[in-house]
Amino acid sequence: MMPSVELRDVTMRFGNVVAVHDLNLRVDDGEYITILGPSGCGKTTSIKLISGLWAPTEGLVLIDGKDVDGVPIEERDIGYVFQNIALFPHMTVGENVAYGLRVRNFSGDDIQERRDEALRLVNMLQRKGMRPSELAGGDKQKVALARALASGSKLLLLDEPLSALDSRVRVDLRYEIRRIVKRLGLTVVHVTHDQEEAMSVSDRIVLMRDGTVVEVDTPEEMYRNPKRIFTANFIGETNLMEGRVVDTDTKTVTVALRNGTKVRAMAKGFNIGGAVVISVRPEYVYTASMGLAATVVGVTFMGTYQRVQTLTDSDDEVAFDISASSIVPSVGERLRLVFNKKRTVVYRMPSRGIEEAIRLE
Amino acid sequence: MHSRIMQAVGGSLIGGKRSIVEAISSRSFRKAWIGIIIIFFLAFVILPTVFVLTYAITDWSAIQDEVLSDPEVVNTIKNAITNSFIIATIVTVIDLIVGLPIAWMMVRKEFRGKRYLDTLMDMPLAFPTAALGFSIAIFWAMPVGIAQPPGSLGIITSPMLLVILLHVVFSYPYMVRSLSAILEQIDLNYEMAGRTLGASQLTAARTITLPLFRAGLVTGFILCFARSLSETGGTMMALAIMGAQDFFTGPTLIGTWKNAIRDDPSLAETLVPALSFVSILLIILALILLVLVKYVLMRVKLPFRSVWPRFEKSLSRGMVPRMKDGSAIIFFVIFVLIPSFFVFSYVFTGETGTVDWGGFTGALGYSFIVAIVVTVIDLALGIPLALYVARNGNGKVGQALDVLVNVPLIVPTAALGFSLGLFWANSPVEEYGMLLVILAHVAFTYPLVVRNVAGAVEEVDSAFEETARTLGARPIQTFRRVLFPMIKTAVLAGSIMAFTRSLGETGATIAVNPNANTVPIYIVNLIKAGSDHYYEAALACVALIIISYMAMLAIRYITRRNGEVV
Repeated sequence: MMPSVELRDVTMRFGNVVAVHDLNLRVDDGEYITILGPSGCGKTTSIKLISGLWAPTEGLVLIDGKDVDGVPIEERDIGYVFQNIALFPHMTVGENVAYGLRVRNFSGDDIQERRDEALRLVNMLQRKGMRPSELAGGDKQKVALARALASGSKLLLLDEPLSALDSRVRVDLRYEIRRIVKRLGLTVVHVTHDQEEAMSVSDRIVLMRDGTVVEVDTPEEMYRNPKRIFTANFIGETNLMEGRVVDTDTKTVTVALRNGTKVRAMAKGFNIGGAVVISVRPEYVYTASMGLAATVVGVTFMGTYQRVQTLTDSDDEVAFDISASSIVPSVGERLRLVFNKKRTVVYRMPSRGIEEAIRLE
Repeated sequence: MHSRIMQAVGGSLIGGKRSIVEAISSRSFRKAWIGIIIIFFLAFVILPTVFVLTYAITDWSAIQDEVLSDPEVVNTIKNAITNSFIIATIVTVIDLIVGLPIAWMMVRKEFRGKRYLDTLMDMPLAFPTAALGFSIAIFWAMPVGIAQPPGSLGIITSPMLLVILLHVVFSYPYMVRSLSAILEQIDLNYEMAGRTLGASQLTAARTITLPLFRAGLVTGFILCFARSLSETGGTMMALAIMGAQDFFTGPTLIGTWKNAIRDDPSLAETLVPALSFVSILLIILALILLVLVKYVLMRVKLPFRSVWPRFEKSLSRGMVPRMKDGSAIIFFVIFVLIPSFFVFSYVFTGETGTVDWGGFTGALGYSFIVAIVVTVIDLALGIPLALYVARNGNGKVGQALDVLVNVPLIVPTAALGFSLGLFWANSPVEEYGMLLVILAHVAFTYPLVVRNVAGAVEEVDSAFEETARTLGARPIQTFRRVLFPMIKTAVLAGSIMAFTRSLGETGATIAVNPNANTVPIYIVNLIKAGSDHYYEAALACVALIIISYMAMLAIRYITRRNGEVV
């Protein structure tokens, strides 16, 4: 299948600042892809390069297999939804949605039909005559989505479309968007810094950092088997512990933490004596009668569960979850922790240390 | 930075001076103080500005006998007023047409030399209009009585055309500035959103940005119109140099008649009613027209809805945008820059003559004293009013003051000067010519300070002041330690603006006191005295330009330096 959008060795410089460096990216037809990363990672630059708002310093941008160098924004036939919504304040909801049709020279009847169709899609038809200033944030963004969809573009670019909204609205709207674009069979490139949002809507996530791609995978794979420490830390939550490999066999690695406690994990390809970092998500940490000794330093009520923070005898901070109805350990209590070895991921110690490897900015 | 201020506020409370601070912080003292400020504003600024209107009621018979019964006088007045309004309209439309592309370029585009263009753009603001009038007249028109200076085009023979060329020069920067100020505030994303929806550059700009732009258009329109309607000194100079003795605008007619009364006091009996009549007409028409402009431009539906995609697309591509930018710059250079600077070339290449430096320095001293006193009064009494207007803008009194403060900016200064002279006539003030000049200059510069400062105060989040108050600071301490440091730039900008406007003013000065010896009047009198004095006038113009320009550089230096700190 021909990729709908492709970036080939794209570099974007602003003076001395490199915003995006040698970026390669393929988005398949009908795929919902999310570009995720901390602020300043180059995700917004990437979407602006695809839309034609900016032109790359080096490299190629292809849409439907065609090089779009020199094709101005208005002729790329894309829908674009902005973070700050950008509904035209001097036009009504209906006029906003019809704008793209008007400037593309659709006929009068066609304009009305497509406008109403787009508004119906986002359930905003009854608000047609209102001004943007009369709408709530979530409704505004729905209208902006309708406006981007009305003229029938097959490629939709979402530039942090939800980050200006309240958290509840944000959650509702993200499922709404996915439902609509899947129904229309659109290709979507969605930029966000919210990993939860990325996980819940995407077919694939492109994780970026410092202007390059860290990892590309489905949300499940990225959560379960992150290939980089940065990914493990950025997607979901995790506990990172330093140690040294003391034993290996065909399937497992045994790691000694700093106090000598041994932890086993399913992993291959490590040499005895090598410095490593292990990553275990809070939900795979359990209390037991033996294992890593730790002291409770805090408990946080999270609704459906409670998060227990501990400081281990190996001098690592390890958090784990217990159900909300369980007996809550008190601060200062001594516990012993064990990890699910199938869900314990082992990484080589990064050359510049853990802090550098998980740094966001 | 703010936390340090908060500490300073908290700290200073512990120290002394408590009783004075408490005394002037009491509610009743503050009420009395703001009352005094408002009374000053009404009695010394607003009332004198429009006082001449009462003349129509008290002395209607004089107007009837001396003016309306004499068809020749009626005709002169009618022509002068008509000229003024035709000129102001044409000038404003030209400003709009050529100002929009430049404003667009300055805000939306990055190009080499933009910084220099930006500085050059403000140049005519620094030039006193009398000096501009001289420079532009000898560039475009054939000066009477002297040989054509080298480089002069000498092609304009119509007085009206010459005045239009002059007025475009000094009003153009106002248009560009007000348009770019609004343009900067319009989110570029709107236009970008339009383009992602398939609109070409021109279509997006026209259907999205322009309609959001009205406030800028209205401000620019009113500023340019009012400036053109009000200008006196430069117009008198230009008309005198081309020898157009029978062509008048409203303000030059006032100036000419005031000079006539000065030379022959017996004319007062006939000319005072005529002068009153002209002033009344100018004031009323200016106010009506500007209210109308504001109403029409804000309410009327402009034909922004229709689109012609193909046609506009062809205009958005290739040569057209470049030609538009290019011709806007060429216009600026040929019609604004070169004529403004021509006086420098004249000084170096024209015929030299004798120069009475004593007379010039005397006038300079007079102008400086007036400008300094005026600026001090503006600041002392303008800042409190600005604070009141900015923080009580929603109350009835606040709103009324907000509207009233614009009146002296709209009324042509010659009419304002005449009105003010009438207001103080037969009072002890009349004995002191310089005091009259100072009062007149305060009337039209006071709003500049109030507007500037009020604008800046509105920008400052009142949470800063509230925080200081919760830390225990009294209102006066809050102002001194918290608010003032944040609006210092605007205060300085406003005061330097008031200073240069006072330095360059002709119309109000002539109309209130034709014997006043300010530099612009000195220059106008030199020109009126004949072509032997042109060289001397040119030198005086250059000196005045340099002084005003240094004042402008000071504004830029101060605002820029301050901008970095904040």
